Amino acid sequence: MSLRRGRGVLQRLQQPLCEGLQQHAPGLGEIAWLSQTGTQTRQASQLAVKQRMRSVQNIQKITKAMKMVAASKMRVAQVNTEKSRAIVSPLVRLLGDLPAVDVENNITVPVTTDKGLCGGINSTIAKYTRATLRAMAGEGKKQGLVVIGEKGRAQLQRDQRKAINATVADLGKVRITFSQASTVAEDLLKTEYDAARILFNRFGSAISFMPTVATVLSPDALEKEVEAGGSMDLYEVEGPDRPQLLQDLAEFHLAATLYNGVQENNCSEQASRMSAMESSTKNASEMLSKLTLYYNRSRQAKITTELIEIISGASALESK
Amino acid sequence: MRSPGEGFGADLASDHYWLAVSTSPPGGLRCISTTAVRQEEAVKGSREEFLEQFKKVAPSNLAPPRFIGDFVPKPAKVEGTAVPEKLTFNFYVPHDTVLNKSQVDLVLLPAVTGDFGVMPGHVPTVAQLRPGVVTVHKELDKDVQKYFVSSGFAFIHADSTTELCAVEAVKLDELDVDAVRSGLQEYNAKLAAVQAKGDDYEIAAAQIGVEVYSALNSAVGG
Repeated sequence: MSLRRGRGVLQRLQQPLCEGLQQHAPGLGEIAWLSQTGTQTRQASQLAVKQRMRSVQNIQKITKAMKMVAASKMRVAQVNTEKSRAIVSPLVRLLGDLPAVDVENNITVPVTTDKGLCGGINSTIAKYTRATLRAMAGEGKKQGLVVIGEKGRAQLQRDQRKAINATVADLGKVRITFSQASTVAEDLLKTEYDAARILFNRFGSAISFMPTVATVLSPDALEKEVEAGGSMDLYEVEGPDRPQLLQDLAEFHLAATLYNGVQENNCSEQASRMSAMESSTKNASEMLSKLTLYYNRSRQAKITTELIEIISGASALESK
Repeated sequence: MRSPGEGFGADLASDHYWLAVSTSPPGGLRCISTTAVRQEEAVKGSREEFLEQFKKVAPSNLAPPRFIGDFVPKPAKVEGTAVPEKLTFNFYVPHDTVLNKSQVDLVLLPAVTGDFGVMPGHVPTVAQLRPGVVTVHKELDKDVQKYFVSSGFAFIHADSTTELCAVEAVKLDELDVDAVRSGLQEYNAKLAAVQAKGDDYEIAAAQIGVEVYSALNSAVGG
C-alpha cells in the first residue's frame, strides 16, 4: 500500500518536470524513468561508458590515419602499377597465355600482402589458390606452392602445408624493384616448374580488384607449345640458338610477370586498406555517437533522479 | 565441306589477317595467318578448359578468375594490304614506357649477333639484345633519338610493329662520361681481383659489369 502511494507522489511530482524536459529536449522526458537504479551503480556504468568512448575515439583516430596513409600510398602505387603493365603485353602476345596447359610439374604462386587490415584480398587469393590447386590436380601431376607475402603463408599453411615449396616475405617493404622480382624469379626457377601460375589481385579501381591468373611456361614447355603450333614458329631468331633464347625469354617473362603481379597486388592492397579503414572509421563514429547519446541520457537521468529525491523529500516534509 | 581456297578466303576475312599480300607469297601468308589463328584458338581453348576445371572444384560463390591475356591489348587490325610507310615502335622497360606506338622510319637494334636495322615490312624476328645503343630514327637522319639499353628482347611482328623490352634504358645524353669511365676501371679491377680467387659467380658478375661498362664507354664515345 505504502509503496503504491509513494509512487503516486512521485508521479505527481514528475509530471511538471517531464513537461519541462520535453520542452527543451523532446524525447528525453521519459528517459528519467529508464534507469532508476542506485546512484553508485549508475556512476560506475557511466565511468565504463566514458572509457569505452575514449577507446573508440582512439581507434577512430588510428583508422583515419591509416586510411590517409593508404590513400597517399595508393596514388604512388597506381602510377607504378600502370607503368608496369606495358612490359607484359608483348610477352603475352608472343608466347600466349595458356592457363590449362597440361604439364607435369605445376607451381602456383599466390601474391599476397605482408600486413593485414586490408579487407578480404588475401582470403580471396587463398581461395583461388586452393581452387587452382584442385583444378590442376591430376594423375602424375606434381603441385607446388611458392607463397609471396606473410598473410598468404599464414592462411595457406593451414591446409596446404605439404604443397608449399617456399615463401617470400617483405617484398614491397620499401619499394618494389625489378631486381627484387628477378631474385624471386631465380628462386622460382629452382623449383624446376613446367608451368607457373601467378595469382594476384589486378587493380581495377579503388573499389574493384580482379583475381587474375598469369601463366608462365618453362623453356621446355614453351618448346612443346611451339611445336604444337605456337606463334613463335613464325619468327626468325636473332641471337643465340633457339633453346638458349627460349630459356632467356622464359626467364625474362617470369620476372616481368612477377614484377607486374607484385605491383598490381601492392596497389590493390593499398586501395583495399583505404576502403576498409574508411568503413571502420565510419563504424567507429557511429558507435561513438550511440555511446555519447547513452552517456548523456544516463547523466541526465541521474540529475533528474537526484532532483526528484530532493523535491519529494521536501514535499514529504511539507505535507506533514 | 569447304575447299582449301575457301578456307584461305575465310582466313583473309578474319581479324587475324596481318600481313601484306604484295610482299609475301600466298603460301607464306596463309601460314602466318593460320598460325596466328591457331595460337589464338589455343589460348581461348586453354582458358575455357581452365574455367571448366575451375568450376568443378571451386565453391559455387567463387567467381571465375581473370587471365592476364584478357588485359593485353589486341594487335591493331590492319586495313588494306600495303606495307605501311612508318614502323610502329613500342619501347618498354619494366617500370616505365619509353615510347608507345611511336611512328618511326628506322630503328637500329644491338642484337647479340650484331646490330641490325628494322624498317616497315621487316621479316618477323625475335632478337636478344646485348648492352648497346638503340637508335630511333623518327624521321630518317633528321629526328634521331639514342638510348642505351642494358639488355632485353626485341620482337618484330609481321604487321610492321616492333616491340622492345629492355631491362633498363636511358637516353644517351643523360649519361655521365666520368662516372662511366670510373665504373669501367672499377669493374676491370674487380674482375682481375676475383679471377685470382676463382669464384665462378663473382667472375661472371664482374664480367657482366665490364661488358656493360665497355658498351657504355663506347656509347658515350670514350
